[in-house]
Amino acid sequence: MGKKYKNPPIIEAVCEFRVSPDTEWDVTIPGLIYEKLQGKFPKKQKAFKGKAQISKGEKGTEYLIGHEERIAFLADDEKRLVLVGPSTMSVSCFAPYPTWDGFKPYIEEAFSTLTEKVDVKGLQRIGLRYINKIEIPNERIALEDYFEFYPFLGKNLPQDLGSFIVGGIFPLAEERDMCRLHLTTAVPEKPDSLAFILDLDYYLAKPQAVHVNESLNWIENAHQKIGKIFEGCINDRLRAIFQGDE
Amino acid sequence: MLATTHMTPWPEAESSKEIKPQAVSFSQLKQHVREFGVFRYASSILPYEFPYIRHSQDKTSTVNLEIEEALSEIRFIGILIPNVLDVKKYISNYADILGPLLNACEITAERFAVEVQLSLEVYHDPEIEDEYLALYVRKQKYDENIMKEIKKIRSLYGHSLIDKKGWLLVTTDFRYPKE
Repeated sequence: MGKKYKNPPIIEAVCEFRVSPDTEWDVTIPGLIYEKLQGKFPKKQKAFKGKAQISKGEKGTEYLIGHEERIAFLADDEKRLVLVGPSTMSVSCFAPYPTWDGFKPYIEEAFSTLTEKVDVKGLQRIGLRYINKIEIPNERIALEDYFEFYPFLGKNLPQDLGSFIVGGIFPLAEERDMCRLHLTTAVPEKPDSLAFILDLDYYLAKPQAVHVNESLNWIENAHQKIGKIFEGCINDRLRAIFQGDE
Repeated sequence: MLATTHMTPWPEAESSKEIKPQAVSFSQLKQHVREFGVFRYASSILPYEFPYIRHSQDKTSTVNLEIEEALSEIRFIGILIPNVLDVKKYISNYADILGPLLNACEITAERFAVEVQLSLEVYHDPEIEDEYLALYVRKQKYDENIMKEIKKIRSLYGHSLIDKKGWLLVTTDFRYPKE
């Protein structure tokens, strides 16, 4: 994503595939996927994802809160994992980010396993998400000295911020794709520093608008776009930190 | 923690102009927002059929972001985390502790008055290979009620630890609050 840096701020990169509702999915599928991937992802672990559903019922608004069980297959060093849940499979890698050339083969292999073991009729959603944790060695900064995307404060507002969240969604490819962008404050790991999470999530917004055979091309394109947006969010002073110059 | 913005001021809105509500088409809206200087760089604002909230809820799933968000929340309610890396490592290893941790932190922060310092740390047993999360309650002056209060808190979150691989203890080490 973006340029190559000595100290990239990426803490997690995820590529997720959600198959269409007409794709048959059952409880044996995680096992079939594990059979193929266990060489690179030998460890198994249960994972849960919180789920909340709000709907209008006969008696008014109904809230359903529960969790979705998923199975995680981890690499030996636990820096990469494949997560399989109902109609969903994702591939994640954690810091240190192995570059796109290091991450992409895992996505390709996992996706190829998915299409081999499941008769995928279509893709409801594809997502490529990069979570960046940016630490700046200073207790007080001017945001515009480091970022090109940050909250604006009008002249009649206090000019000091304690914490914030700012976000937006860019429609791309004639609204077939979206890129959700969030910048928020975070807890620094080093003392006397400030930390921020820069979260970019590029996804297919129109279900089944990309053919299954074109998915990997879509992901390559998504990666290029997300890289450009990331570079558009930062300026040279932050680049110097990522290069280890500051 | 402070972060300051020093942006170039936006052009002043022409407050003397009366803005009358009217139905505007998409192309008219673009012109409006530029004319009144409401959004300096807004290149386009999409029609209502594109709600931000709905799109922002549908996210590509992550694993680690929940931990970062939880730690931000814990800090926000006034709990110190002297060794963030240690706590993150523990939570990464015992991810099922996250829910009970947030629950216990909120209950504890609510129960204790301002004079108390709350500090989230990882306790490493020096004699055996054991570690767990400890939420320390520290005061300048201790009295006999402190353990009563802590036991009350434990009774409120204790059930959420059943079947969890991780462990969390709200406790005190009777030390002075750290600077």
